[in-house]
Amino acid sequence: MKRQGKLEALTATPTVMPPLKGEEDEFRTVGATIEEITPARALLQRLPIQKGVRVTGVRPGYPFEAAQPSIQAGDIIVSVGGQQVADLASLGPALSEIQDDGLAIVFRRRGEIIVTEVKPSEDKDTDIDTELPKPWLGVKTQVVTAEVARALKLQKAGGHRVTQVYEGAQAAKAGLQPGDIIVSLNGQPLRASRAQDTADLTRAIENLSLGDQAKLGLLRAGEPATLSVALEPTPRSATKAKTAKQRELEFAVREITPMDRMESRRFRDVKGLLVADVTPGGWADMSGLRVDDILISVGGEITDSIAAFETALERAMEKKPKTLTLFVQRGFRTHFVFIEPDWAKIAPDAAGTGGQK
Amino acid sequence: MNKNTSTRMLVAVCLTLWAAPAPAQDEMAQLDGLVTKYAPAIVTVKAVLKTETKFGGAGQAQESRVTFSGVVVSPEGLVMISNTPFSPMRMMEMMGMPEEMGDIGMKATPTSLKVVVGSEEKEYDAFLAATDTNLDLAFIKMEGLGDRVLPFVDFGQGTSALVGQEVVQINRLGRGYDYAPFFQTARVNGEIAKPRTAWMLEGDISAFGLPVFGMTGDVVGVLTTIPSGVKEQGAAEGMGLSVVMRLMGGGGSTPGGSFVLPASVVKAVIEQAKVRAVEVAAERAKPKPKPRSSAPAKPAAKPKTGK
Repeated sequence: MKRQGKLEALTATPTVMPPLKGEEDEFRTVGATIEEITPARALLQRLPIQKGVRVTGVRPGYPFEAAQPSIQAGDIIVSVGGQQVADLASLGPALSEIQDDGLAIVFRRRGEIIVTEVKPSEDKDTDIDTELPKPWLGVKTQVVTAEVARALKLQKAGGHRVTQVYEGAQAAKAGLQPGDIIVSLNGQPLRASRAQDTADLTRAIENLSLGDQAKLGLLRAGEPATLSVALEPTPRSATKAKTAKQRELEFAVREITPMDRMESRRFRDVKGLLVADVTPGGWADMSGLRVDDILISVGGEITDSIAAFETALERAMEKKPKTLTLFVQRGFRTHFVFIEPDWAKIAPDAAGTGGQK
Repeated sequence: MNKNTSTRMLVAVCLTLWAAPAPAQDEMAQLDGLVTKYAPAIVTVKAVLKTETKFGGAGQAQESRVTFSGVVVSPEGLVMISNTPFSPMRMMEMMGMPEEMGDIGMKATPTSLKVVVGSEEKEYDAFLAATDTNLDLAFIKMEGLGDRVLPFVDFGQGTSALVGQEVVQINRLGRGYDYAPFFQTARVNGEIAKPRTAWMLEGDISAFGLPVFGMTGDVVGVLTTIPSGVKEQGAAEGMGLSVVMRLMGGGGSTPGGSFVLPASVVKAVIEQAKVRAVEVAAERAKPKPKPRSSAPAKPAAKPKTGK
């Protein structure tokens, strides 16, 4: 090469470019993802250190984020519980020391060195149904408006015409039938005659107490009749169903609720759980499990309840079979779904690696 | 008009002018008294919400922090809040989303609940104890109160509102303002009987789940959402806009879907919630049978399941 008119010789030896991105790991108990700082990263971002660990993300509500002051993405962890940490291998054991009375963590945020205290958080992901039970008649109705009355050739409008009786509901047991017109409740006439009166019956039922008898005055084929229906709680709807998440294989199931069974023939007699969620790109997804499949068995064990499902998965986790077979119902057909997970990656506790690479 | 009459009128005008500041003084004292009386029962709730959205088969989960106010309804620390944060579908319904959107599954569950009393530094842990999606109310139970007895609002002492009556709500600012209490006023400008009995408001009151008081301190009810349940063409749009304006802090004189639910109705649901809170506490105390599929048993760290 020529430099300022003079010929000069230079020798350059190519080497492998040092990686910019360091090893990254997820620390679920504190709700953070943390990576090792590489020399290249330190140089590029002009960090004051060559070696260390840096937070790349925090989960709201988990110990790092809930701490006062909170630890944020970008913070460099200096020490945990008085121990200096420079790599992920030393961070894991240090963080596992977290106790109820807190763990002191020193971290670097730009020019500042900040001290905080991190407290463990319990797993609050509970599935307890909190909805207050309300009395329910177990029917769907339409208001007998003037138009409906004319169509039915009735003398006058008024009342709630039963359009559906839920199978298995107390109303069905009491003998209520579609076409019956409910004209009174516990002796009080129901005067609904306009579309906006639809909710009157539901509201009136809700004002009664669970276990009470609702005495219904009816018009059946034009003739007056009476029926007594025991009030039961509104069955659980899909959004309130018990669910279980399978984090390792990345899918979730939920129980089939009485409401599901009443509303769709598909669920009427089936024993199983409904696949509620399949994480895109996860093991279950790659193996072909689909949302809305009805899961009948896992590894040959019947999964007709959340508890049975959890036991079946627990066993599979212990056995670590090369292929885990799921038996599902999809539409009218049944299918086998074969999951072949890399157990070494998803359940590393066997080899005593302590979760580290 | 003779001289006598005009003198009398002049006297009357003077008297009116002279007397005018007096009710204002009374009102100020009244409002100040209301804030002093009820602010101790207004608490701040800090929640982490996990919102799960589903479009067809694909699901998405997101966690976010939200802070809102609640009211203590029992001395043992039962706090009433609006259920709207836990019910994204109700929010969409209120904003007049079309019915076809119903296929989108949305679910919000609190993964962390903390309660701040007044401007105290301590944050009490709490759990979701009861919800009433019909009334759009939720109840959370504070833990670790020990022998502490909290001031509470008694809905059993409620009165009915009259159209035209002035009402007050007490709320709190955020942590940055040291949770300072403040009041907002509105006027009852209508009453509905369907889908349930409730009162409409015109004015600045806008915090769902908080009580609404009469000027003399009587409990009138709680501000909540009541969707009509009847689809009307055009109405959805207008309702959506008014809610958006409300959310933007515009107050808004259009009542939208927000109404004051009578104290008697609230009282009944509080009694149910007290019972449910005890049951839920017992359920929570049970040891979790299988930690495996809900949470990793021990590993502090897990390698990424890179695929």
